[in-house]
Parts: sequence; C-alpha cells; structure tokens
Amino acid sequence: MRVAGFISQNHSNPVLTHLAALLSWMNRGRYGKGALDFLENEDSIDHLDYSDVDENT
Amino acid sequence: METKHVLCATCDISCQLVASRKPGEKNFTLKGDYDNPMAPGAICAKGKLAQSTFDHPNRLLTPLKRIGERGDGKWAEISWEQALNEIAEKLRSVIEHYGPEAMAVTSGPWNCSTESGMTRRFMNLLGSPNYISPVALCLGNTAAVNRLTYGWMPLADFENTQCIVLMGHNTNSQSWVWEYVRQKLAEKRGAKLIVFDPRRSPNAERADVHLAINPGTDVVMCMGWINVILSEQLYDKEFVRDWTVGFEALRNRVVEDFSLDFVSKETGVSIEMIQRAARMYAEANGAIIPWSPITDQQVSSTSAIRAISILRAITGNLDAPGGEMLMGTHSDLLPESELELTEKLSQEQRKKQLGYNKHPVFTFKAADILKEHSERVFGEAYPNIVKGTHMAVPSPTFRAMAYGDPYPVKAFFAIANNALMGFGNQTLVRKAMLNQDLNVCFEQFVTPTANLCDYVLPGDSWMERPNMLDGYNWAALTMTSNKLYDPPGECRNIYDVWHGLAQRMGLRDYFPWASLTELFDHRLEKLGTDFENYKNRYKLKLAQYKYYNYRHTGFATPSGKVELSSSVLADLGFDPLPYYRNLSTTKEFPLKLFVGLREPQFFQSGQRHNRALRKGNRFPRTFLNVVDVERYGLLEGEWATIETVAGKIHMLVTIRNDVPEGLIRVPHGWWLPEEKDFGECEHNDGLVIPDSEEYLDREQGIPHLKGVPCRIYPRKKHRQYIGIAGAKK
Repeated sequence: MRVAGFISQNHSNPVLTHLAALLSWMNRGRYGKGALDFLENEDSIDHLDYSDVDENT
Repeated sequence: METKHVLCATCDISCQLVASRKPGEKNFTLKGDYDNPMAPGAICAKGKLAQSTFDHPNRLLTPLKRIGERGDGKWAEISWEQALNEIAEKLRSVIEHYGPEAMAVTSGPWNCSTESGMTRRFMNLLGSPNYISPVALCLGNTAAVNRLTYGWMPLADFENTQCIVLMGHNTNSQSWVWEYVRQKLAEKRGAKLIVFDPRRSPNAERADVHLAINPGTDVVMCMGWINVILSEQLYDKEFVRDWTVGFEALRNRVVEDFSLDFVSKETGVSIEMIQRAARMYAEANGAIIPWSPITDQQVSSTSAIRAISILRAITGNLDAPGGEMLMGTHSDLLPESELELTEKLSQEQRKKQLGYNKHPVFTFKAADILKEHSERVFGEAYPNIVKGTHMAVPSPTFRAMAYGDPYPVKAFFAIANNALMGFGNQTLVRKAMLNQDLNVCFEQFVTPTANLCDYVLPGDSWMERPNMLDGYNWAALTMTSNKLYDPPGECRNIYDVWHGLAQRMGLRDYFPWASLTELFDHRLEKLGTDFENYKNRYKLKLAQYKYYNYRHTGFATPSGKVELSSSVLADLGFDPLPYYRNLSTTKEFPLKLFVGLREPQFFQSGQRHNRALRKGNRFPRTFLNVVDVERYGLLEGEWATIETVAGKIHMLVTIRNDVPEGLIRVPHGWWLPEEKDFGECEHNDGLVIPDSEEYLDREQGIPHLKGVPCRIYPRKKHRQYIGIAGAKK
C-alpha cells in the first residue's frame, strides 16, 4: 500500500518521478506480459452490440 | 502535450483517467491511467465517449421553469436568481404547512460526488431526515448491513488475494471496470475464481467453480458453505474464539435449517460442488467476496449480506492480507460525516424518518445504536459509508409523497437522479411526484423525472469541475480530479444549489464557502494545504492502512466483536441470524425475472441520447433461453410483453443460451429520448417491480429485483417508433 501511494503521487523531484515510473512498470510487470490486453480486445457475449441488426431504426 | 488527471464519474466506480491534448486542440482525449497502481488502465466505452455525452445539443444550459402541465414538456428559461428565489419560497411554504420532514431528497452520489455532505447538511439544518438514494438498492444497503456484523463495509484486497468469490456480480471490461481489472490481474497471478450465477456468464465460463444456483438462493448457498466449513473444522478457530459472539447460535441455525440436502435441493447445485467450493474458499490463504448488487436486491437481501459477512469473519479474512479491509476513512480530510452536521437533526425528527420503524436497518434507528461503537473504532459517529447508512427507505417515502401516509411529503428534490426510473414500482413514484407542491430536478438533460418537475436546474459534469473523492466514505483512498472545461451555458455545481438555497433560507452562516474549491480547501485545512496543492501532488492518496487493526480497537459493534448473531437486529425486533425467504413462480406467472442488467453502452438510465453509444443498442432487449422463446410463441427480434403483478413492459426478444430455462433477463433504465413520450411508461424495469410487503426485504424494505415471478407473450399492440434514425440530430 505504501508503494502504491508512492506510485500515485506527482513528485516534484525528478529522481523520485523516475523511481515512481519504474515502480509502476514493475507493478504491472508482476502480472506478466499482456496482462491488460483484455482492456483493448475482449470478446464477450455481454458486449451486446446490435449495430448491424438495428442499422435503419 | 497537455495532460491532466481526471476522475470519471460516469458511474460509481470512479476510474482514474488521463486527459491529454496537443497544442491547438480544443478537446481532450481520455484514456485509462496505466500508472494507477489499483486497476491500471481502467476505462469503459462510456468513459472514452464522455465528451460526446455532455457536449450534446440536448444539454440543459439554463434553469427551466414549467409552464404547462407536469409532463407536457413546456418550459420557460429563467435565471438562476429567479429559480433559487422561487424554489426557496415554495420550500419555505411547504415546511411551514407540513413541517421540515415534508421535504425529501434523492441523490445519485456519483454524479454529485463533489457535494462533500452538503445535501445532508442542508436537510439536517432544516430538520428533514428524508434523504433517499439509489444506493438503497445498490451498495449503500450492503454497507449498512455489513456494519451490523463487524462495524464497517470492507474493501476487497484484490492485490493480495488467492480466491475471489463473485456472487453473480457480472464484472466486465465495460461495467465495474475498476473492480474487473483488479480481478483479472488477481486471476493472472493465480487466484481462484468461484462464481455464483444462474447464468453461464463469461466470469462463470472462466471460473474454477461455477455454482449455477437457482435465482434468489444466494443466502442458502452461503449457509451451505458455513455448514461445510463448520462441520469440516475449516474455520479460523482462534479468531472465532477471541473475536466473535453467537457462534453456537449460528451452528444451531445451520444444523436446523441448512442441511446440505436442503441447500442442494433449494439451490439446484450438487452437494459435492457445494463442498468443493466451500473448501476452496475456506482453505485459500486470503479470500474475498467482493460486494455484489445481486444480494442487494432480494427479499432475502439482509440475510444474504449477513451470511457473506459471517463467511468473511469465520474464515479469518477480516482485515487479513488478501482478505477484506476495514479501512475507515482518510484522517487527512475533514470527513463528510462531520460536514453533514447530523447532530443538528433532533431525535424527534430522526424518528420521523420514513421506514424508521418498519424497515430500520439502514435508517437512523440502526445508525443510532451503532453510533458510539463507530466513534470508538473509526472516530466517526455517523459514518455515511457509500452515503447509505442512515437513509430513509424509498418505498415508504414514495407512499408518503403519494398518499400522505403516515404524513405528507410535499417537496421533492431529485439531484442527478432519474428517480422516476431508479426505484421499484415506477407507477407509485410517478403518482408520488404528481402529488407534490414542489418538484425540483438538478440534471444535465430533461429526463422523464425532470419532465415531471417544476424547476429543472442545469448541472455540470465531471469534466467541468474539480473533484476530491474520499472513497465514498468507504475506504481511505482519496482521489482528485482536474477540471478540463468550463461548464457550458449556465450549468453549475450541486454545491452552488445548496449554497444558494441556504443563503435564502437563513442558513448563510452554515455555508460560508463561496465555491466548491473553497469547500475542498476547508476540508484540507488540518493538513496545512489547499486543494490546488493537494490535487497537484496526489492523484490518489492511500492511507497508512494496517492489517488486523481490530486487534487494537475491537470491532465497531455493541459487543466489540464480530456479531455472528446480531444484537442490533435482535434489538430492532428481527431474527438475529440469517434465514431464507424467496418468491415462487405460479401458474399465472411461471417464469422468473431478473432486472437491473447493465449494458455496455449505458450506466443506469443515462447516455440514451448519445448516438455514438446508442447506435450499437437502440431498443430495449430481453434475454431468454431458446426453449422459452419457443414455449411462449416468441420470435427473435420481435417485440414481447413481460408482465408481473406490478405492470408490464415491452422489449425485443433476444435468444441467449447462457440464460437458463425459466429465467428472463431485463436491462435497467430504458427510455427513449427521441420519442415524444420518452417511452417512459413502456420499457423501464421499474414498471414491473412490485413493492408491496411480500416483495420487500423485511429488514431493509428494499424490493426484490432478482427473480420476480412473471409471464411473457408476444406484444399485442404495436407502436411506431421514431427511432434515433428518424429523430433530429
């Protein structure tokens, strides 16, 4: 929690800014490569899109 | 490149976003913040397209005064000065005639997340206890019920958990995204996933264990788990011995009423599956059962939420790493609960709170019992967790508005809340609004609720104001947000409304802050900083939370321990242990209806005017199994009518084989802004939700939304829709 708090601060010291960026990168890295890809490409039956069916209504 | 951090308030999740624009560009582009350590990258389609929602020709830009009959849609544009003068005068008249309790307010907390407790402050100073909110049906009531067991509403520690239990909660990349990202990352780390859901949802498909329970049997399954955990000695014996009361009473209830044979028969899940899931949860080194709207909305809601709370406790997951954090609020800030000035509301007025006697669990009646204990542990006498722990109950409030029973309510304020469509029994809500001397709405668009109001005040959006959100008074996470644009036209912040009315009603001294930013500055005074500096330093500030805090403070309950058998429920005259109620189908109504389904394009009844979102979802649709479609003579893509004892709605039929036979799923909040009548009496799920006593949770008085008996048949009388293709842009 302490690290998370450090990452989410806007630091005025450039060294701390770089350190926060590094920790942020490491935090994401602990979940493995492509762990957040689902945010861009997720195929789901609940993504309900009827654009084709409803085109003229 | 200009970049700013901003907090999306399109829904109640509050995703942290990054807004950026190149030199010369007018508009910002919104993206999820990948540097956010909790839920990196979270954003949904509604958030990405938020500007097209707010920057819209239908946007309200000036105060409106009704000049025709209510519902006619005839308005005169007036100044803020005139609007506030007239509203104050009429409100004063209502209070003089009927008393301050004749004022009721409903508020959507996400849209009004900047208000810092000012709504309740204004009401408390006037003497009205009748604040209601949609959180009575969603999260706020869960917070209140959780307090009965251990004094606070826990926040799930996704980042360290080894097991996640979703109680039918349909998290996905378009809804509850902040939670979904944390869940998916936990799964990626190897956390197990258990899903309760009658439907084969995407989460269920991916789960280690899917318990396809019958609708409304969540409490039975939880009690079945408790049975397994007790009989197999899987509970945390030390914690139970030192930190709980009522263990033997709980054991007796489980043995007498929740044998595994009964649980299996009632839920429709095999004993082996029940045991497997219960063991997986109990044996995990850190397990969570995140909040779920499903258990918020049943006749057994209180018991289901209590059973979940008990599971968290007896397995040693409270305040444990990877478990459920009882955080309190952030000590840096002046808390909203203090700003609300609850102590100014007399005991006499609190007792008039609608629902106080009959359904008291989230009213002042329960909050007053917990007051001293909450103060002892969390330093707040009336923590307004998710703004839901000392509210009036919606159904009795609307009855008082409609019928004057037990006393008249004659002035109704709907603050960023499409109240007509946001609760059960829409017919009653409409009657209630039509029986008011004064209806006021604070909104961004003319909604069906606004259309029944006397004054409609134009509100700002989250892109047009700064914000400082202290975790909805739930958790010690403070988030800040920049203003991206000036509010268009004469749109104002909700603070300006209460401030303006206070000036006119003799409460000037209690609202000394000239602006929202000054109010935020006041809340930060004890840190020796102001909002501008705080915001520039922190996008998100986390408290120095420590696990196992209860070992130093005890729990915020009357016994100071986790109350497996609740003394507060007993004091209020209810069963202190979880029990089971459900609704049964009949020959007349042979199916069960799940309402409140969220669609990716919309949050609640919002965004229906946004063409970019609406083009993917133009009409309301219901989801059924192919067997039921054939059985009831329906056709895919054709209109059908769904009917309950409360009323009927019309929806297009969609065949979905993830939905089990016997169940109909219906999305929430449908209206059609392009139609002259808004379609407001034809499609919203609130029209088919009854709220007579047998359909209400006894302790909370909230209606059953997950399994109302219903029938379905082809629509008999068709209507022509203008549709968004035929409407003016």
